[in-house]
Amino acid sequence: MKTNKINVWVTRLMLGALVFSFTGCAFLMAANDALKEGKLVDNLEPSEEYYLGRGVSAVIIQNYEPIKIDTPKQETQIKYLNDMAGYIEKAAQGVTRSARKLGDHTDRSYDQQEHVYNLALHKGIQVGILNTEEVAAHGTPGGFLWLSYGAIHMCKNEDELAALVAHEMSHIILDHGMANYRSAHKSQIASSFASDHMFPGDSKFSNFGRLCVTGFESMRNGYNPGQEFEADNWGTRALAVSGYKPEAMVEVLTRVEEFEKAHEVKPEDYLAHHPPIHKRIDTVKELIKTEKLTVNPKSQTAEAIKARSDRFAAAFK
Amino acid sequence: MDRWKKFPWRRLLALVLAMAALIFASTYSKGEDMYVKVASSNPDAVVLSSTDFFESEPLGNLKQNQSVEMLDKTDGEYVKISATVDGKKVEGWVKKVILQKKPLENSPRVSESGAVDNASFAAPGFDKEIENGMRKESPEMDKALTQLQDFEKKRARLMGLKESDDPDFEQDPTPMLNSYRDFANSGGLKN
Repeated sequence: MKTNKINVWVTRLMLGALVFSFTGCAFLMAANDALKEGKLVDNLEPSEEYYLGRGVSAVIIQNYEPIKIDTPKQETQIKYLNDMAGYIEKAAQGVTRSARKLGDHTDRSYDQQEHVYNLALHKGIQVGILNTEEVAAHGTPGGFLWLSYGAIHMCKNEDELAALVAHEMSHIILDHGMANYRSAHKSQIASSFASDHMFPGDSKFSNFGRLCVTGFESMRNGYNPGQEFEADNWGTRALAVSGYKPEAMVEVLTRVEEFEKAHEVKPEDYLAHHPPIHKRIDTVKELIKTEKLTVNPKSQTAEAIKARSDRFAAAFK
Repeated sequence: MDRWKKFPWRRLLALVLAMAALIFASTYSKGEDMYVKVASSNPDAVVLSSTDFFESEPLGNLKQNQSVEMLDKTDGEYVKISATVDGKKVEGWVKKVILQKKPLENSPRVSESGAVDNASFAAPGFDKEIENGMRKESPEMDKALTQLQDFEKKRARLMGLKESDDPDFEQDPTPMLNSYRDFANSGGLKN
């Protein structure tokens, strides 16, 4: 009788081990297998996000010529933007991991927030410049941020540029692009005229290529209004903790409003897909007021403001 | 009965309590073993001497899947750890989110000396092989990725990092973190 019981338990244990080893292997191969079938898994590893970001960035480069970084002026610009973005990201790490604190604009649990913070920045933020006066800004998975000269030239000082960088960077940190893509296409890799033209095959390499192309197209179509409000929220808080005045977010949004009034925004333009700007300005003002967001007075002395003004002019005037 | 009464119950109780306290102390003085989730090139893999960004000194880089001892001290999102970095035992602070309780599967194991046994690790989904396959299928993509590689190299040089054609090359991010700090100081942004 006793021997029988032992046998039953040994069998159960062996079956358990078998199931565990199968599920373990299945988990490990998930991303690769999904890619073969044209699907996108829910959770990518940081290095996978980085490779996806490289692919999407390559598609951005095909659509907008990046600067070549072959003059001292361009080197100054790239170093300046990368220092700024990296510093804001570091200073703002304590801002929040809670979706609740970001205004309940998107549905994300505390654990999901923790997860996206960790995977977004495999190698830190890498900022590049697109050589066009069109207003465009694209953050990809894996930490690539592409800003056009048109977007940069809209800013009148360093604090406004920091607001633009903080807003766009938050789309990366909060994984808005991929979250959008997954929900829009139910985690299937989408195809489009451009993606099928570049990648007509059905191999996993073609599927990855199609994902990069349609990933960019999804980002170019804009984020949903909730994500834009969340990015404004994160960006405004990030400004305050990194020594920039939070009101700079209102100022840069006002510049966008002025731009929209002065230029005809076409349906295919980047700005056409943002929520009404006056609503965003009001929401940011309310956030600053209710959360009592202030900035360290030391960063607002005449000397500090002049130092930032001088280096902004040296880079972009 | 008399012998029962004479037995030093109080001493025995004191001894038992002392032993329990010793066991408790030894259990809790040793922190929890955790594993590093991120690659050593990730800026968050740097062990810092303090949680203050401006005051902190980098103590070295953790390797992916390295085992560290999480000490029972936290400061906001940071946690104090003890780890072997470049062959030396260090105590410092890292972000709690870069640690997890179980080792990553299919990742390089890190020995006590801090050396990585399998440095060619890449996640099994999107990786260099997939990217190279994509390059072969599309000449336009190949050209754009080469341009991107050029951008990453030039940006790395400007940030004080090493230039490399290998996307899996693991940078020491310390010069980049120093550059961020200099940027904040020169712009009067220090808190």
